Amino acid sequence: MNHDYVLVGISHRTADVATREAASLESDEIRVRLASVMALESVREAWVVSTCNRTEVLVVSETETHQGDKDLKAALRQIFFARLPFDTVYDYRGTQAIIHVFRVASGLDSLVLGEGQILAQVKEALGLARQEKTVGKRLEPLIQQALTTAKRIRTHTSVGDGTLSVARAGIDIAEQAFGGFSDNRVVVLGAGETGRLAALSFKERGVLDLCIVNRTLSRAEEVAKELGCRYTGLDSLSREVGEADILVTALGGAPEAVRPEHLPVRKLRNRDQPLVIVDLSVPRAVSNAVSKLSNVLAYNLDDLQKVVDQNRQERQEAAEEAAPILLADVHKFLGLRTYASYSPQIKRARERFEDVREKVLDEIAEDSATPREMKLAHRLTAQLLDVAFDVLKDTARDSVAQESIDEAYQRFLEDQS
Amino acid sequence: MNAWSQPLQVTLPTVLALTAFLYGMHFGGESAPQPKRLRRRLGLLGLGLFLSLFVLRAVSIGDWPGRGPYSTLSWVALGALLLHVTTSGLDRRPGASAIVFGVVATMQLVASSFGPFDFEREGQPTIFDLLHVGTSVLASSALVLSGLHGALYLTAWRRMRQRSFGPLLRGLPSLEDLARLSRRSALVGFILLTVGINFGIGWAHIQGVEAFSYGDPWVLSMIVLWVYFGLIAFSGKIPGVTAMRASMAATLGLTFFFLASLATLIPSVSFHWGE
Repeated sequence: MNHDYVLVGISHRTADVATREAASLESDEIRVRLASVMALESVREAWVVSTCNRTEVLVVSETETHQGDKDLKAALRQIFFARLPFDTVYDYRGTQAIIHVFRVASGLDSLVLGEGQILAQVKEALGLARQEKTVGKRLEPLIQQALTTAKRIRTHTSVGDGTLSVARAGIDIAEQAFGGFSDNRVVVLGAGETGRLAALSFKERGVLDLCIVNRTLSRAEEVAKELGCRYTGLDSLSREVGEADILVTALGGAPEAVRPEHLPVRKLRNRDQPLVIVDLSVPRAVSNAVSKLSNVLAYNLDDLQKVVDQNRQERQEAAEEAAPILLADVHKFLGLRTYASYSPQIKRARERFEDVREKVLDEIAEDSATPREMKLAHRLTAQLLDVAFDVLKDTARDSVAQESIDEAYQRFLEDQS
Repeated sequence: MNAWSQPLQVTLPTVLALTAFLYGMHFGGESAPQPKRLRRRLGLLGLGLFLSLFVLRAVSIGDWPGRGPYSTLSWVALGALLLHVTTSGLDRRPGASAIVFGVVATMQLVASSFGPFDFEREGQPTIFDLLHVGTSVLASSALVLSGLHGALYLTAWRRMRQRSFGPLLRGLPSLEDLARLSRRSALVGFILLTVGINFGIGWAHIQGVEAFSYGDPWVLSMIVLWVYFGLIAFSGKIPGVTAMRASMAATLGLTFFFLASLATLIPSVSFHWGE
């Protein structure tokens, strides 16, 4: 019987947020669907990953006819994506399905190229499938290899380097000035959602002191209570900035709200370390005159966007560098899969080798072989078997042409574009 | 002795330059190859070769630092490397290691290229060599490091001001780190020079060295640098002297140190070099 991988799913490439949300599954729902999938006649193993950006089911099937293949895909659509528009669902089979899983685990198919969260999500999905006993000798090695490849790609390329979030880019710049933040004081001007998230990021990085400054004191208090930090009103801005190392502004509709006259310019000019200002406001809340002040390093959204664009460009280039690593690992995996398919023959060969060994020992020693002779015979058999299996492994790998994988990858990319 | 000294003087700058190159690959970002083990081993080999050269020359022919301008330059380079490894380690700040190895390799290349290979035996190092020359040479090494970190601070500052967040900036330590390293090195240099200069002056008076003069270009340069780097070392306590200004001063101090060395060492105008 011939086994093959079939993958059906939706992702950010084919579906909008609302559709993806409709398809997204919690752990309990995944368990139920896995049971339904395993109940299908042709399915031997199954694995489901569901995140905010994708829901995919991968199965090992035993379908011999084209119609059987079509029926399986239709059944999987019915179980997972019944109410979703038909054209938002894609499917892959065989090598293309393997390539897709490797790309997903590596973050090459993610909405934010190279993001690392998917690695944990794939691992979690594998854990769930293990609990439900729906993965075995065909799916488990595939997912494991995909995870190994993903780690290799992240180590050997810069596909996960450099942030693609402007707020995070601002924090990275501040880090370039101060190293860590354990000795630094941060003032966040604005208690809206952006301000809250920026403050939270600094809090998580262990700043020495964090203060929320806001026009509406009650809102500042609310955020400060949530984060466990200080808060104050706008009238204390100059005093707070005088003591701070980093000022983050996150105001809405307050153009040039921070001007030199709002800052302790003389104090800033004469203190040892610079003041780093990260302006996350639209329109800009920090005036140009502030960025020209001595001992001040000020960055607005345009500057941060340039950093993000540069990082994105570097990630794109890294994604191209990742392709040879991914293809080499797909080749290795297919070779091992072919080798694994020889296991009945390998078992038979091992038994025959052992029979021959016993026969030869009997003939030579006539039931009186010494322990030393026995040990020698066993070692010789084991080593000869190893040699034979190595040759078999090479043959298995050679039976999968690298060119055919390269072609499959090209077709895969063309289909996606 | 010379059979060992000559190959060492040729090998040393080569190994140091190669180490600088390997550490410099850090500026290529995380995706660039990072031969961490190789660069560390090569760095340690360079340090080992340097110490071997020092011991061989000091013990076998009595060539203690200060016996010639080029051997002094060589020992200043060795001191800078030792101080860098002691304060920053080899791998903690790879970007800084690349720059320090590069400068040390250049200094040693000059010393190896122009310095004489053969010396007459002049006797074993004395307590004077240790307390005056040894401390002064090590102090000079510290001043070189202070200036180098100051220059790196200015480079990083300029990049941040220009919003140029490329691999060069990412490969450098943080501004705060660079300012701290520059000031600490200046402090070490200041303390050692305090010992070295005062012991030298006292010794010259006691021994009645006729050629000694406070106006001697080398003596004067060192006194100026002593005061100057003392101010940099304590600049964190001086209002108005920001880390950026202190770094600028350290960089200018380094420039002054090299110019003073050129002016006094090469033409041998100072009584220090046997005039």
